[in-house]
Amino acid sequence: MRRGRRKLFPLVRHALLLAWTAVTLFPIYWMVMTSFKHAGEWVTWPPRWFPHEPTLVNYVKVLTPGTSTFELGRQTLKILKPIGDSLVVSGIGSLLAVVLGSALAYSWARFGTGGRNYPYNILSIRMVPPIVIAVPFVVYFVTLRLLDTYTGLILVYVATCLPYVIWMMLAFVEEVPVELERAARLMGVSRLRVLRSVVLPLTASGLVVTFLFVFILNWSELLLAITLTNTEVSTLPITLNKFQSANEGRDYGPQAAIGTLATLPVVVMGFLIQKHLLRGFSFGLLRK
Amino acid sequence: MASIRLERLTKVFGATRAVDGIDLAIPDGEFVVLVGPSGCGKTTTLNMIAGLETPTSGDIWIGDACVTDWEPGERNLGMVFQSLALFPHMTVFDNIAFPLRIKRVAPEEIASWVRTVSDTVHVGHLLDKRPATLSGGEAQRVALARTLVVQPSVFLMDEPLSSLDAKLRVEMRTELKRLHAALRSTFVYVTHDQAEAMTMADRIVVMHQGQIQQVGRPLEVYGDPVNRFVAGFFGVPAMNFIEGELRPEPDGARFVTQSLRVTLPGRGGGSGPAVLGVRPEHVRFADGRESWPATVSLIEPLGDETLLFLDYGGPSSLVAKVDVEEKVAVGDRRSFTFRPDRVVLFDGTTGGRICR
Amino acid sequence: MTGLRRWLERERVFRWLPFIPVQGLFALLLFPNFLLLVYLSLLSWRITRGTWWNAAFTGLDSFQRALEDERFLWALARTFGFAAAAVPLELLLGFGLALLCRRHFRGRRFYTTVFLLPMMIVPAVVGYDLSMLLIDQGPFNQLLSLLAGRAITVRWLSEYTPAQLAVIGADVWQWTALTFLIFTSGLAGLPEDPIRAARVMGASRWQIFWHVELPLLKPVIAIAVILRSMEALKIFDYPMLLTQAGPGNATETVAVYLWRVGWEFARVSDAAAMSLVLLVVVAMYSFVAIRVLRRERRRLAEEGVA
Repeated sequence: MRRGRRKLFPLVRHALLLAWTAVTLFPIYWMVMTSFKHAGEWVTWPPRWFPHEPTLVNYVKVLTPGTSTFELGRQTLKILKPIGDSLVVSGIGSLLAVVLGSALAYSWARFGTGGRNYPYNILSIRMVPPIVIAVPFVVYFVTLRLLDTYTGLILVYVATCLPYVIWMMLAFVEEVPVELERAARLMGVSRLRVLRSVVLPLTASGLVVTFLFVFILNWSELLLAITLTNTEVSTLPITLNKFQSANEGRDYGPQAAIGTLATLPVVVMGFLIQKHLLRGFSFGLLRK
Repeated sequence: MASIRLERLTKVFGATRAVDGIDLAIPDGEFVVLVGPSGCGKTTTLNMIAGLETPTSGDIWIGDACVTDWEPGERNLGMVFQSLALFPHMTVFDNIAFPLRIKRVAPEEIASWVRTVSDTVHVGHLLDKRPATLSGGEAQRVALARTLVVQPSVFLMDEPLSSLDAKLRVEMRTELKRLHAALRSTFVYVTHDQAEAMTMADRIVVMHQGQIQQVGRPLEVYGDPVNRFVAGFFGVPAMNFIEGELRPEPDGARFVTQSLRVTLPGRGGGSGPAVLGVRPEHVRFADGRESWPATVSLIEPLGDETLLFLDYGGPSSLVAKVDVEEKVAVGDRRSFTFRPDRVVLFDGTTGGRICR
Repeated sequence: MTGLRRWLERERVFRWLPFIPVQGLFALLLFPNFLLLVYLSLLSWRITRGTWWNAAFTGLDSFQRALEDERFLWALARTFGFAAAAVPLELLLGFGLALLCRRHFRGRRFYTTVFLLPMMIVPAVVGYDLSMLLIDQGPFNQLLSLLAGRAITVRWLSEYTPAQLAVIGADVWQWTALTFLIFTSGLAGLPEDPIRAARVMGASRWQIFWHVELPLLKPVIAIAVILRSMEALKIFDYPMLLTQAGPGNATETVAVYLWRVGWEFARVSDAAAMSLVLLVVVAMYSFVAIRVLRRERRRLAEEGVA
């Protein structure tokens, strides 16, 4: 009997896992395929699972500067600028958040800075829905002349991501043996130097995972971006949203191209650090 | 009751043969200690007996049954882990009761069993506590109680005392031996500590590089090691090894180095490179024909005995264990000799015992 | 210079160094914001009408309007409904998949790689992508017809219940990846010896799971529930891109509605008042969530490396 079960289980497992693999890949597959289709193949019955004549025209349309503006209602969109803006805003925002947040996590884990409940208080900030702060933010940012600026959006992203950074980094910092740091201190190494040459290398994979996760959050963020920017700054999600809400004649192909382009960098990064991802999400809630 | 038999037991992890075709028969009720340096395969062997690892080849028999393919829970074993493996989310009572609950014993019976067993190992007053709040010794006893409660026919122990401090470890040794005497079950005990092995075992199994080097009673293994590895593994301080050459003599053999010439009457044949082994307690001061001069270079008093390091002209000092009454000072020149009947010889290349 | 460095190195000073910019940021951004939110809610101001500091002070009027606004209350209820449907599904799916991928087997790397993909995709893209799949004559209906063996033409984006299912489906599709990730790291971090001990005692797989592994995983489950539920209450992107919150208001979440009130209808004061109501609701929830989290972490600290 035992033999039989042992043979059956892998089959059942593969069947279940393949089912979810199909569910996962189906939308991604469709988007990538659509991005290579001519306009005539976007909507057909029966739907075309392969582009009969694969084309790059959607990408060309979306990416070429100069001619990359195309009609959409009365507004014209350029895709290169949103890509650049997204990179700048989420890149700088995530980096600042990771630097500040991990330093704070360290300070709390080692010295208890801010009191026993500090991380919990910080986490409650993350629980506030962004729409709640969006309304007064606009008014506030107009007053500060930060509306529709990179600085404004970056500051907001840093603030909203800090709770995640602190919680994720707490787990990694708590894993660094205090003895190592003490040994270095006894050798006369300064605190900053200890951070750089002991704590930093030991938490490197945590920093990378945290950065990526926060980067994904910022790269994807729509609500705050759409509220706090206008024409000067425009991120990728905003661009997609503008497409979608302009109801007249839907441009599936170019949209699919934008979606694919917006997905690609994050997925590549995810692949590179997958090994670390799988152990980076314990939030300090595991027994060692 | 159960005896254990291992037949050509092998476990391969990737490219390393962790356990390399060992044969071993453990009679019912024996206290066997598997001992060896870390990585020698002793824990893997134990895990295979427990069923936690599947052998690459070979078979395991418990009693009259071949249990190689049995689940661990079907083998009627009790196991104590190095980490003790107490369930951190359960109280001591629930920890001890767990194996009974698995077997669906009635609640009243569970309560009385837990009570009996916890009194046996003196943890009766801790039943409401959680493992994290226990001291090392208490946690140790709870782990033991949890194993005892189902009255297994075989006890497996994987370095169970390694987390205790030195004094407690010695106390627990005695207690485990008492427990074995009371239960008369088969105990298989894994340790890297040769003193633990010597004091507790009915029989010692010395392992090295996945293979059994020697099986024997503690004093056999100590006094009559089969090779240089076993000889060096037991005894503190370790046996002195002197490299030299063996030459045949009419009435025995002679061991020669630059500064020593040891005649070994009655030892047969053999010649070529050899290693002479002599334990520190068999080195003694004496004047006479077979003695050599040396300088005392270091003295380590142990209280009951004294260790002396003697420079006799060889590549390393010779360690001697002498009576505390012996009056010596660093720098003294004294003559020493060996108890000839206790000197052992090993082949210079293979390390195997020669010239018995 | 060295004097300054020595001063910075003192523990009393050093420990506050990261604290100051972080608290400064919160103080500069969030605190005035909150005050402004409260103040705006007490006014009667529309973006289109003059500057806010000149707007009339009307006290609690906007709150009264908010609590009498059925569309707002429905949006709030609907959001909780979506979360209540999506989060348990995500947790169960993520946990199940993590269990299946727990031990090494051929293909494990492939599956984990694929399962993590959705969380790396911009939610707006997910919304748009699904809107493409779910059109009446789209591939999803085609697949369903194939599986069912008859023509299925569900109008996913323009009928009431299907549209709601679509939004929930989008959330589940994307965030099962995160619960899978959390549970996978949780399972990988379980201590091995207690599980082996239970095996030697003869516990079945099910008994080990139920009596040993699940209790040990409790804190990880807690964080997954908290993270996902607090994010699910913010759903905005999927309705915006998938259904434009329609048909009617079938998929209008509270975030979408507040955004419309604030910007499309330009009733800033009303939006502020509703935001405060929402904030109170969320605060009650997060109070409970944080208590749970704190208890789990404290217990972990007590149990330690036992």
